[in-house]
Amino acid sequence: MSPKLSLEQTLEAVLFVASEPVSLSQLADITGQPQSKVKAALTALSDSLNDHGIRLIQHQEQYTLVTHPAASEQVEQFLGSQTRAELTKPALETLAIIAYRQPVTKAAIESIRGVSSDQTLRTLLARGLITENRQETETVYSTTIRFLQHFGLSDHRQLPPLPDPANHQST
Amino acid sequence: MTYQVESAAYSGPLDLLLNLIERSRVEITDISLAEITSQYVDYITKLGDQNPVELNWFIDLAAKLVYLKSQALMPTLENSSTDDEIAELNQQLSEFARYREAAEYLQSLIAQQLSSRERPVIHRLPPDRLPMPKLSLETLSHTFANTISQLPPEPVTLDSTKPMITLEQMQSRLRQRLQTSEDLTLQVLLTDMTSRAEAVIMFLALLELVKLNQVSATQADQFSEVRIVYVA
Repeated sequence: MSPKLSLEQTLEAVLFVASEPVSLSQLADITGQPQSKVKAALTALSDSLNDHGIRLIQHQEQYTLVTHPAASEQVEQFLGSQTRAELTKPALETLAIIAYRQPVTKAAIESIRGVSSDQTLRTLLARGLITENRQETETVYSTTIRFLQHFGLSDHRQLPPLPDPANHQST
Repeated sequence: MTYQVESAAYSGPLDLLLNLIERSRVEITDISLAEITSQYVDYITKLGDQNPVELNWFIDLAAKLVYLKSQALMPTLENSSTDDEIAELNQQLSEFARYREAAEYLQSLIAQQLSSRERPVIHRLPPDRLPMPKLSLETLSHTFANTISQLPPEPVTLDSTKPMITLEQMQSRLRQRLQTSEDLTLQVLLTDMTSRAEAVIMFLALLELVKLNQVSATQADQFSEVRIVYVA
């Protein structure tokens, strides 16, 4: 009796009720389809949402439907959300290093910044913008899907390339 | 040349050094080192109440600068490692500058206030509150009709706590109403009543008025409207 939906439509329905990012493997399990097919359908879904107020964003094979960044003002007003706390200069610097070098160790971050980064890492973790992953000998840091949301990006690849190592001193 | 170093919060020693270099519009070479180093040291002497862990990193770089400066100022002690270390520091600064620029880009995104929201968390209903999967719309309407037909008639309850209009009060109310308006029917009078009990009292009052010949009630034919007219 119910009409047959395409894989793309089914995925849209599942993602609609999910309030947290859903992994590719979970979507494949639910739909009983191979991951490659699900991934292709998700790409098609993302394209079909181009002229809509919601978008599909993905990070490390986690998918979630979010509001279009251009509707941010109205959405925040509707939700009655508090204005978000600013990120300090050290926090942004640390976040930039993680965004471009992930996964990256604390030692590597401190070597680039030339200063201890415990405090900024704690702040970024608390804000959910980065995640830490303990490996055998070291802890590495990566950005999260919330990082993309916060900056209105739908994919990590939307970040512009890291600026060239130009000769900054002589400018 | 002296510089007024503002108390701008530098994100770290490299940020400070890079800023000093940019303002002096020089490159770090053995010639410019002396000037940059004294400015740098000047700045960190004002950082007295800085978090000691961070201050440590500032002092670390200061020590390096002072060492490089001393090497540059005393050509007799000069060795090839000074050039290497200056090149290394330049390399570190230029790498840092790339990320500082990337951080500025992120800041510009924040300034545009273009964030995306996910759906707020839905509190899921416990499974026992969900309708049964086999329940169809047809079954539901059938069941509803069935249940309604089996309901006992609505019990008549008199609410004794509620003040009730008396027969006499109702009679005078009816007289007033009938005197001021013509063309009244029993139906109209009944629909004005707020409760079933009040309708009963009104009907009894009406019968009483008819009996007293103050009111006439006429009906053209069976099931037609009962017209009520004040006569007295």
